[in-house]
Amino acid sequence: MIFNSIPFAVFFIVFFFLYWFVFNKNLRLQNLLLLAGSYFFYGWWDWRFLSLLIGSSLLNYYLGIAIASTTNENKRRWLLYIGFIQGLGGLLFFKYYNFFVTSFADAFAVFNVHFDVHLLQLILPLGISFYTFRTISYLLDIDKNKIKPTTDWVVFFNYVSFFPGLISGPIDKAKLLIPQLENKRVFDNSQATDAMRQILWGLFKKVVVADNCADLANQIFDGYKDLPASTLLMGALFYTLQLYADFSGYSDMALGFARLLGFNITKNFNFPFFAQNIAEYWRRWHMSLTAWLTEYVFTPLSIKFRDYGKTGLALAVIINFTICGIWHGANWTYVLFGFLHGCYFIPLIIRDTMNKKIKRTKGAMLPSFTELRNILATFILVMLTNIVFRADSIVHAADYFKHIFSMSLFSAPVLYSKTGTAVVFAVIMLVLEWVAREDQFALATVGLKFPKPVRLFFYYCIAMAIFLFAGKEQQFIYFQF
Amino acid sequence: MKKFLVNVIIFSVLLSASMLFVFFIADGKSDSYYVRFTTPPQHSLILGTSRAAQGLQPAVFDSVLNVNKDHYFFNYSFTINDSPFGPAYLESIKKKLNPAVKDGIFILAVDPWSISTPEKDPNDSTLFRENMGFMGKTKYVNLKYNIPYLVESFSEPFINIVRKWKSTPDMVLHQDGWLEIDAPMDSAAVAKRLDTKLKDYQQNYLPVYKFSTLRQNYLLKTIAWLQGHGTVYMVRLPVHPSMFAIEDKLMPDFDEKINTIAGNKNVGYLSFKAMENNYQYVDGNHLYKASGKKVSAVIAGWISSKK
Repeated sequence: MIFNSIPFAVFFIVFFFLYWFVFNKNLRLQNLLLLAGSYFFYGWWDWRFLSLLIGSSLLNYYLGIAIASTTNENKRRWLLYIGFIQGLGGLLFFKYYNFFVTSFADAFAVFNVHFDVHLLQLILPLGISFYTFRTISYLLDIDKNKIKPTTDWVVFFNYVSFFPGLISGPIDKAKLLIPQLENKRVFDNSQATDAMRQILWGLFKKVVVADNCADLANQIFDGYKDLPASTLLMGALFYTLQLYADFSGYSDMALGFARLLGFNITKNFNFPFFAQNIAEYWRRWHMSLTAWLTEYVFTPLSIKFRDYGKTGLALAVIINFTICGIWHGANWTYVLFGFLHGCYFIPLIIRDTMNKKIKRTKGAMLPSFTELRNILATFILVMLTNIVFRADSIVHAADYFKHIFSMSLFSAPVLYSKTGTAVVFAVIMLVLEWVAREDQFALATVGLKFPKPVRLFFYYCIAMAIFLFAGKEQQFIYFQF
Repeated sequence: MKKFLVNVIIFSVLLSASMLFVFFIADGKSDSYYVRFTTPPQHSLILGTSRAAQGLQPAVFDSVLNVNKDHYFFNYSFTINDSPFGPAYLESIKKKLNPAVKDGIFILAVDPWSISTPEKDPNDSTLFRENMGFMGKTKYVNLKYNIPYLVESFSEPFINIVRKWKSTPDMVLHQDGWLEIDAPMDSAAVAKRLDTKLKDYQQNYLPVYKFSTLRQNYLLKTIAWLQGHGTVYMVRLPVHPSMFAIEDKLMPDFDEKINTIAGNKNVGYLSFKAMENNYQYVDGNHLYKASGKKVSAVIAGWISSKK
């Protein structure tokens, strides 16, 4: 079940009424309904993998309690390892088994040692990367005494499988979501109205911008060999817009649906295309993953390497981003994507500007020249690296780049029937997001000052744009991760 | 909560009304299939792929065969991708025909492509591509405003329904199911389209298409089922000689195959392959409307002589 589908709309309407009108008197009953709803949502895709989700929740629930109840460091370690083995083991098996086996065989083939590899026909359980990271952070936080384990299994199971963020995140920390699950939710009219605006904006980004850009990006990446370089560059641009509109659109919808149920979950995007360097970009892109990796990978590594100064810091960043890359999938393209992003930090580390707060003009309609230069430079770097992310293989990516850097870069790009639609709506998206860049999402304030009829007409236009200009339905990109 | 719900409901009603308006203005200019799914169950059908969809004009059959209004012909042909003989098309035909009909006339346009398939295993019906397309997905084929079709199978953005509504398009699907195409017919334009079409069939279709016993069996099943509701006639429509030459490469014994079926099933078969070919084609594969009218009249005359 995906957010932009009729089955989900029916499911959510029924669920919403049961949640607020039938089960609202009793918190436990409401949580049980939430759990049943989450499992129904997940099982709609493939009910067989529910057992994995439930099994993982059960094990980590008991591990959390067991870790907190012992002061024996050795025992705590072992309990933690069990959690890691289950979580990362499942992830490695489903997501990376075939990749490691073939890479291993390929490596030996270089030395003329050949052996038959047995590949498995595995289906990647939806959302496994997201809920595994939730359970791991839960155990780590208990181990570090940052949180206390919950003793209510319904609350914990809900934390792992909370349906708005189950399939593609955000990766919520336990300290944020569990207290909300333990306390009675109150319906707030203005919060709900704002949530509807956020859902509308998320839908617009996904259905109008992402799906139309996807059509173009797919055509260009599939037929890149026969296209001029200027069109290939356009392909990279459309893919970058697609990736952002798709994932941030999903996240906006997830946040909106959660807010309609009385929850505030982690914000996942903060207008990353307006970042002025790569470090800021990652502080604004897939923020819940960046925060997770910073806390559990980068920080321990940078402490470990602190004796090596800037070299140690650079190494920690590169390892962190290589892991970030491979988190996306079992392909060397993702490894290279992460590695490159890690390398982009090196100039910032050398100049000690990695964590430096960037000056920005607040409230101005247009960016300053320096801002614009930095924003464009960061965007182009991200866009070019996304070619690696989108390519089927490193060879494909290299060939795409080879075709880009040719004289045809200066020829007119090929225009497709949807180019105009995609460009117009992408520009609308970027302009509205620029105007609202200090807010939570574009429609949080844009339009609020209009008189009510004008404001309603503005929302009506966005809704009709979703209906009239919807691109060919594409799966959410981050579902595959 | 009450205020929130009232606002949401008002907004949803306004939005739904606008969406319904767009659905209600969808017509024969919106796409090449929609209208066929919006008419009531029919009495006599013209079946086949795009050659029949564009080439055979129900009004000509109605006139030559002098059928009364309740028994008018309806063109229920689609495309080579969507309506080759197979399970999806047969099920759709069953829904489109009025079950009470016992004296219908059914014209089956056959060609080598309609009993072939590009799938790896030509006899695995689970691989048939039309099952996943609108032919397999469209459960309701007789709805006046077919919203399920528009939501599930309309392949363009809905804005195109609005754009084409008041325009003069080069393609109109008439209420009787005939797809009228208006294309420039100067010799240069025709030669260019012919060249493109021949290249397409030569390079993309011929190397991958294979005869499918299963599809042939579905042709037999379709005939058998239709015979329970009236009389069946099979025709092989004329195409450009170069297109016939490509088809000979795919299935040199096609006419013998169909003649055998016709003999076994006691069905008339008219092949235009050996007949004089002085018709005009839009692209070598589809009859131009003026020629389609002539061919429709020839077929209607042949049916009349058989009655």
